[in-house]
Amino acid sequence: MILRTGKFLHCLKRAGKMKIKIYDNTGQRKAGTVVYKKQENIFAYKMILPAVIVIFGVLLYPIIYSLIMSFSKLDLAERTMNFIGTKNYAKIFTDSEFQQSILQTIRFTIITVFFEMVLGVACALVLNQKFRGCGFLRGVMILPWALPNVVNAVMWKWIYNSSYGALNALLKQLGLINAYKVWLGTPESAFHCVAFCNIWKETPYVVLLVLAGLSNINHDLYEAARVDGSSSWHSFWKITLPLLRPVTSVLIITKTIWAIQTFDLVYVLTGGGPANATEFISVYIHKVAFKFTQFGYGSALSYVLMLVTFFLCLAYIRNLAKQGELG
Amino acid sequence: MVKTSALLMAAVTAAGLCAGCGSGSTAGTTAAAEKATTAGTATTAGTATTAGTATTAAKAASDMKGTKITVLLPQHEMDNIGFMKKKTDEFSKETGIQVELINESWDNVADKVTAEMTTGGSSYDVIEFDNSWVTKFVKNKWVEPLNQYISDDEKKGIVPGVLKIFSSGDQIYGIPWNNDTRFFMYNKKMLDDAGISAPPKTWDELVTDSKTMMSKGICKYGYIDSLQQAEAETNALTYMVYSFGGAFLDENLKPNVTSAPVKEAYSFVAKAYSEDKIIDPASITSDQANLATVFCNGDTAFFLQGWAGVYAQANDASTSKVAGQVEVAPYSIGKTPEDAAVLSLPEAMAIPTTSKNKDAAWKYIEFMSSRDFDKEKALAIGALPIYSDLFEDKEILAKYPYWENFGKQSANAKGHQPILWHDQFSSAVQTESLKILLEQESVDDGLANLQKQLEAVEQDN
Amino acid sequence: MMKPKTKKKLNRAALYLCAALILLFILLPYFWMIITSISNKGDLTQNPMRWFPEHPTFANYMNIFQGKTNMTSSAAAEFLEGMRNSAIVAVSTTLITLLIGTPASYAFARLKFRGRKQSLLMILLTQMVPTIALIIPLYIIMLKLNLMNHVLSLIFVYLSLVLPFVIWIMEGYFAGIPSELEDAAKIDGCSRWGAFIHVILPIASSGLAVTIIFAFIISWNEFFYALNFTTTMASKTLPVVITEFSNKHGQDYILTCTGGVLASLPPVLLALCTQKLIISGLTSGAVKG
Repeated sequence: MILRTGKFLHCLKRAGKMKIKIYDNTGQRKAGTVVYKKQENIFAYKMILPAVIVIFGVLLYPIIYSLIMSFSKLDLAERTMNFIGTKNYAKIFTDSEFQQSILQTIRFTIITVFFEMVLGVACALVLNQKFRGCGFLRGVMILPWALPNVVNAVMWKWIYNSSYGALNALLKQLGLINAYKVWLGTPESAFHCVAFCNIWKETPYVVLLVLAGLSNINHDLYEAARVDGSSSWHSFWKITLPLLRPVTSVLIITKTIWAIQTFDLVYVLTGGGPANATEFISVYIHKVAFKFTQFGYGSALSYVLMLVTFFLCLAYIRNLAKQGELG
Repeated sequence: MVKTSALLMAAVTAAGLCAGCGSGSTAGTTAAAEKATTAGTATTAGTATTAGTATTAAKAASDMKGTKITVLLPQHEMDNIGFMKKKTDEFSKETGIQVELINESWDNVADKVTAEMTTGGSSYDVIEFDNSWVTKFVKNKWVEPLNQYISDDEKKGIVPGVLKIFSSGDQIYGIPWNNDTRFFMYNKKMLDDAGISAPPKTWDELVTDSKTMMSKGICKYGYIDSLQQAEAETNALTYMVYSFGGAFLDENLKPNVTSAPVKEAYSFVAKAYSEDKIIDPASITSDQANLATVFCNGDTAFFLQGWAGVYAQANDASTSKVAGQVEVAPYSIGKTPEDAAVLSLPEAMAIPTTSKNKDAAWKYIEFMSSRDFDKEKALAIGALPIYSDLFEDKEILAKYPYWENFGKQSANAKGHQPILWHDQFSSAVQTESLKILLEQESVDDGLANLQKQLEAVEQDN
Repeated sequence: MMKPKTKKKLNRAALYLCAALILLFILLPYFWMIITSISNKGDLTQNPMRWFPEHPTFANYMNIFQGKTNMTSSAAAEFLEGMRNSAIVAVSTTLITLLIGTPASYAFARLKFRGRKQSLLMILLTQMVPTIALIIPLYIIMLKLNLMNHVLSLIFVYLSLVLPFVIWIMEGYFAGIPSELEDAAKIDGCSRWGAFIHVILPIASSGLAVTIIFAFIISWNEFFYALNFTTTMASKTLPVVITEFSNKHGQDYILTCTGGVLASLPPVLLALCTQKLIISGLTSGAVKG
């Protein structure tokens, strides 16, 4: 990069008073810092305004409306909301079905997010290498995530089918089981099957994002480390992971939010059964709202869920703040 | 033939509860006459009400040409030839009323109707009206009372019991379009191979017969039921409870699940599932489509409550391995013959109160529920008729001789007990029943828990 | 020098083994889905299972394209119309997201301005509210704005779903780009915006590629909002059309799998096309030392 004095002075003029960072031809920095003050604020607001308008334009009214709904009881005949204070929230404390549901959901979230991250990073490391077919594999990697949720669920339900399913057939033909199992028929088994489905579906997302993150890591760092004599495992821990931290932190937060809100997959696979073993919170809220038509209570449940989500992610949000991501 | 038709008529009459046809037919006549005259097609005033056939309905509707209505219904599960769509197009051509027919899966329709009714939108003019929604929808004033529209003919002609299901007091709110009654079917060849002369009449006989056939390797399991956590599970258990001579709720519609018949029913199912092992363990994860698959694959011998289409599916040699082997029993299983019951889960068409085209909507409903249409539908896709006299129609019985046995079984057709809190009831039954089946609770404990839960819900409502 | 060479060979073999395992993990269920789509029910319910059907058939695909009824012309194109609607919604959402999401995430990453922390957090919080809580008020909005059964309703709602995540993810990528690049560019060529367009964006192309895929697939596959806001073929998207393959009694897994195979093709094609971009990033040589 060549310093052009003319343009440099032009910039000075446009930006008003400022201090300047100056480089010489060898890339060494000289004195000064570039600092834009007023224009930075205005420029920033211009950049974020469209997105902010869209997001809050669509979501602000619904969020306020549903918050109010959570403190009300809907009169479905007159189509009005009757304020009842915190009765809905109080009801939550005695709702054993909700409590069981939230526990199962948290358990599900922690297990799936953990495996998705570990498997995802591992796969990304493999796919980051050059080998024959790596491009194809990277493209095909998206397949589980590319399937519509409902198709995914029906396909897995068919695979898990206890009379004619592919899983049973495969395991029996491989000699791993003696008789066909009813995979979705017992609480624990159903839970694990659903978790596996979700992991299968969501891992590619982690892989792709980590791949993109890996591509931003300078290879020279690894070179330097190897010259210094560190093993690849060591390089992974000391170089790769820390540099991936912004990506992985955001990923964990994103995946946590999605895992907690898992609905389509479970609804089709097990309907929440057997005996509410897989009735995750979103399935329960859907039942309360759409089947029992208790929309007020459903909203209250949703906001409690939001609090739970927030607390699960808190550690990672704090982490990002510390790292300066959040300022 | 005569005995059957008499039985059938009396039978499906009992299907909801009692027969009481309301008055108000004269009101209906004058209203229709007024509409016709003001529209300018004066001469048809008389014929519009007495005949109730498609063409006169069309004449009276010609004043509504150009109106557009939207209809939201699940697809009739037996309609594989686009029959309903074709007839809808015919209706549009005849009357000039444009119909947007939207078919979705049953669950999707349920969700969309709920969202639409809650928010008070007027996107739909005719909606699906399931038998378990009646109390809720009527209380919430979501559907239009139809006494002002329905003709005398229809009122008297449609099976009273089914019409009663969709009424509240004297007011009718829905016109049935899917008379979904379930029947006991079995694989005759398997019984013959095992030397069993007739299908079981009692539950004990069912167990014995199943064990005989299973031990001889004739079938894998006695039967498979839809016990996955969904509405179908409630249906299955309601049927069991009815056929043991009991009910989940007493005459005042208060929870009564700790009563003796309910306990017996649950004990039977639990024992058949865990000890006798005559019920396919896949039941816990099966939806009803899977039941038909398993039955048509020759893995089970009995189908306790098959819908009308199962018989046709079983005899379709291209997909079924048991073609020609399946029979409809002349009775269904009960603790005693008097207890034998079958489940009737009809669906109807209703007009939302927020609709902007109620008259046009009614024209559509009238067209799609006329006697001629009903007969055509029965012949074309094998759907059970909604008109009583069609059950003894010679043409129909010639095409479906096994409907005679349908008629015999219908002697004690029952629907769900109509309560406002049906969904909560169903949810609690589903969960507790599975806990009992999975042996997480004993029958007594489970039913006691269920009783407590249902009482809590009943009080809340 | 045998040792390093054998070590290298072993590493290579291990790499291929891992790649093969990954391929199996991804493809086995999908492979079964394809098999199901070319089978008929009789073949699938055989015991013991035959992995390739005795009578493979494309009847299911014909069934989908001709409509279940094989009679009415309106049903014939339902699947294709669903695909068209899905494509319109997905492409629009992706383009708009790129247009307004990328500058926003850059601003959050690089610029220090008042309210930065708070707005980032607020944006994240909106995503934590489950969609089921918002469906009724959104339904009311769509009714009042007369957007019911219009692809615009879906585009708006999907934007509110996709933008927050895109902003957060891209923010991470932009933050990972060394600031020296920008400073040099500023001194070299000036405006903030110019630096953004000409220097940063190309380097962040890996993150952008992932964003494109992400935004597209979320919009392509979303179901709940699509179900509630669409009624007729004017706006019905693919996931909703596919659920119509089930009836009152249960799922038709054969037709659903067939629909799934077809529905998954566009996203996979998109991923195959952009996979090179995903690994481009800084290693393409923009920065040295």
